[in-house]
Amino acid sequence: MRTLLSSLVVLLAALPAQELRLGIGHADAVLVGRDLGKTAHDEQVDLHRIQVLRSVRGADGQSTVTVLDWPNLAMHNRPVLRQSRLYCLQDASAAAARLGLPAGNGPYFKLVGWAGSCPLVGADLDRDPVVAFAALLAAADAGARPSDTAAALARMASTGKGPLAVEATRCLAERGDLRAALQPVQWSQLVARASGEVDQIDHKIALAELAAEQRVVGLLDTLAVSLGPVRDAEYARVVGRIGKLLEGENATLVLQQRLQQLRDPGDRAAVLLAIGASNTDSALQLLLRLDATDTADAAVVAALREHRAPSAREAAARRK
Amino acid sequence: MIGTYSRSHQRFPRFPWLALAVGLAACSGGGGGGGGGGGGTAGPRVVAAAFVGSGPSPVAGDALLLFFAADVQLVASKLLDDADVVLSGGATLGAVTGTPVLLSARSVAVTLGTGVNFAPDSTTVVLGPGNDAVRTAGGQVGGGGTAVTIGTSDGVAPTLSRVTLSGIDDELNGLGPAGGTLQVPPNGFHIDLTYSDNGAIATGQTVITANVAVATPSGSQAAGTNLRPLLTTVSASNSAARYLVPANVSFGTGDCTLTCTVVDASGLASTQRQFACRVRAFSSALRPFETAVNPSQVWFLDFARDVESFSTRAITGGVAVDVVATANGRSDFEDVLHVLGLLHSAPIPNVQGGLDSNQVVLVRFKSELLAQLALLYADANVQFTLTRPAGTFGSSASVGYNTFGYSQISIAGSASTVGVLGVAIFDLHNNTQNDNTRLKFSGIRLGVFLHTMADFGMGPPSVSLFRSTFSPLAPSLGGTAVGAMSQDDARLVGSLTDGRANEILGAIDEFARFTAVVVAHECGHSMGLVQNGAMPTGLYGNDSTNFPGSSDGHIRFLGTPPGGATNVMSPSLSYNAAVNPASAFNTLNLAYLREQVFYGN
Repeated sequence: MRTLLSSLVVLLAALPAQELRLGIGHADAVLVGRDLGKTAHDEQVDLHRIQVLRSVRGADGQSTVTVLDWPNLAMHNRPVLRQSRLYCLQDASAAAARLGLPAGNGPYFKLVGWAGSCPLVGADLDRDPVVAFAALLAAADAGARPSDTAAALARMASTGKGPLAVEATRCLAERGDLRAALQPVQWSQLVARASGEVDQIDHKIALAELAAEQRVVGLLDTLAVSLGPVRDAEYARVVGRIGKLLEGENATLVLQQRLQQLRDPGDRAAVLLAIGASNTDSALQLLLRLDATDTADAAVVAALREHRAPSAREAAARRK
Repeated sequence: MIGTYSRSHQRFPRFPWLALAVGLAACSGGGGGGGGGGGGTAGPRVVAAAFVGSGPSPVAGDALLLFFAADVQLVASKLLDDADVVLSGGATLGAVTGTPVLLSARSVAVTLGTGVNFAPDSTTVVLGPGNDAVRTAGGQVGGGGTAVTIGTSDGVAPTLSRVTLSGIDDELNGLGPAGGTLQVPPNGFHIDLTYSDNGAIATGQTVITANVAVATPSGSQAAGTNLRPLLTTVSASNSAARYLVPANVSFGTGDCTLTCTVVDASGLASTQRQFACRVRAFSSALRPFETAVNPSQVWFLDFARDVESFSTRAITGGVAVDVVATANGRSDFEDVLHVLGLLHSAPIPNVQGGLDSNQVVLVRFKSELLAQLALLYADANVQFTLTRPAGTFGSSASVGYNTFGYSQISIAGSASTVGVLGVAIFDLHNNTQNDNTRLKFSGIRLGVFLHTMADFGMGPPSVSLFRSTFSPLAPSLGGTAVGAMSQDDARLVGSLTDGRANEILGAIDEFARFTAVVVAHECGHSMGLVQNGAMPTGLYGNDSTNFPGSSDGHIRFLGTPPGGATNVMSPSLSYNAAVNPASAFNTLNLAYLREQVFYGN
């Protein structure tokens, strides 16, 4: 039998975003490294010798480090020979001691588990956006002015594209100290992007959650405008949850007003889904009222399924 | 006018079958191999026949189209007339004067002669022993097969758009850019057809042939025989059909090409569509759930681990859950539920059947967990139990599959590597029973780690689904734990249905669903998912080129699911995706678990 260990890592954000920021934040060492080679310690453990190309945090003065890997592990974060990557590393000195590894070959680390926390980097480290992002977060942890860090992240969040823009957005959502350092004009830019983004839905969702975290006034109306042009179910669900958080029972009224502006069934389905996901009593009453017809409306049924009330589920089941 | 349907009147030219000829010839997929005989005869076998004419009844100059089960050829200069066919009720093709026309590899047109007389939709036709005009690819003339009714062509042939096995998506069945060839056992898999027509499909005339011999209760069927009557029809509608290869029908091993044709009610046949697969003996070594000793794979879910406890700490925008690395006399699983507010330090006594509120919550959680696992593993020979079966692993992490009757996994607290929801032994082909409850497996803790989800889920943002679910309940988030509010007992048993009752029951069920998906993922690894490489080497694990986001032992691909859903065997998992009811094993993973495909040599 070939025995492998397989692992599943948590991904808190909507797919397919990464969690690089968590890897950086929780790592004992962050560095740009090149895998020089590996040696097998035993059947279960390989030792990867990593050349430190640049220490971002926690590996200053080291020219190489040793990363433990379990060759039979199926974790998606693992050293890859001859590749240069950003390594977010967790101290493994205790494991190394149990394995009897010589201290002189240390320091010993293992990779943290977050998705996307061991990305490839380019040859020009001074221009690599991943390295720059890691350095930005490391500097913030080292005492950089919150306003500087916040401004850089806000710029990425409001003008950037791809996973790093999502990472920057989520960073701001998770860091109240950085949010507090943002200026009104920066918030305007972030909310405008949250409203106007129609292609990168994971980014749009992250921006919406960031604005909700800041309790931006009138946010539900702003986000509801996108329902229709954006029909993504996850976005509709987020709008519903934000509605409940910010507006409570009144969220249904706000979303209902948006519903009345729309004629296309697909557009209306997105708004109805948000209403269901708001999970309020008023949403339940509205959906049950809309469902009280002879002919089933698939969008109403889908919205009822989003709602947690047993009566909503039962109504949806009756239409199955 | 075509047949009796005036709506077809304007569709056809003077010689309507010529239009069909162009289309069919263009679509011909070439030979399906082998002989054309069926039913124990060797001559060409007609599977469908259609009349194409200028009125409701045939007259000289109209055409009869014959569709065959396998490729045919015409014998030069030979007429296809009454001497070659057997028509029911004394019918006749008339004095045929023109040689037949090969429209495609499997269809022939005959121009009817003076005196033609048959009744469309009533008269039947089959090649007779006197046939010397049409021969099989192997050169055999003569008759074969069963008589078919001559339909009245509506002029539009049906379209067979898709053939696959066991519902496996094209991206995973060898037709996609990832390549590969499905490997199936000699029987037990499904053949799925998707088709369309402007009218009705005559599902009883669907033809499925193979280029290999197939063993059946009525003897070995030669390559090219229509196997459809020998298969079990699971469903056959006007748009799709599913056939099961039953246990008493066995495909010969080796590379196999299935050739399928559907026929509409007017007698027109679709272009044939082929599907290549590989049939391999289902040896115990390759079969994940071989039943020589154990009737099924049983998984014991172990909630007992107690090596730590947890404390909460306010952070900006939420709460962090810290690990206290000492046992506290309560399972780590229950410790997590206390943090989430699903359990309370002073439960309400005697809520139901003598159980207190905590016990009622646990019963509901575990019941829902088992229900969700059953849903995820539907029709797989896998069971989950809360009672430890007989047998012990001792010091071994893995023992031979037939040593005893179960594998096990811990559902517990924290991981030994940050950011990890679960770690399990990967077991190629499920050759062993595995112990995923071990605290130290070469320094790695095995099991499912709910602390990971609790810790990060209770952090910001506050509008996350996780926070929306647990903020009303988790004391550290300002909620009131289940059992800490009056009438929670009534809410738990359903006699009080208010908003809080919805929150409580919804949270229990949702977290049980999340846990089920993680357990399903980890146990999937310990039953052979997801071997790297294309079929038949593997199940497309680690193919990040064709399935972006995949990694070693994982695949991120679920076909075209509703928004927010994901494959259970994705390398990473969000809470939102896990609780999405559409999240599931992808079709290939599921077919493997159902023992309808398998990998390896």
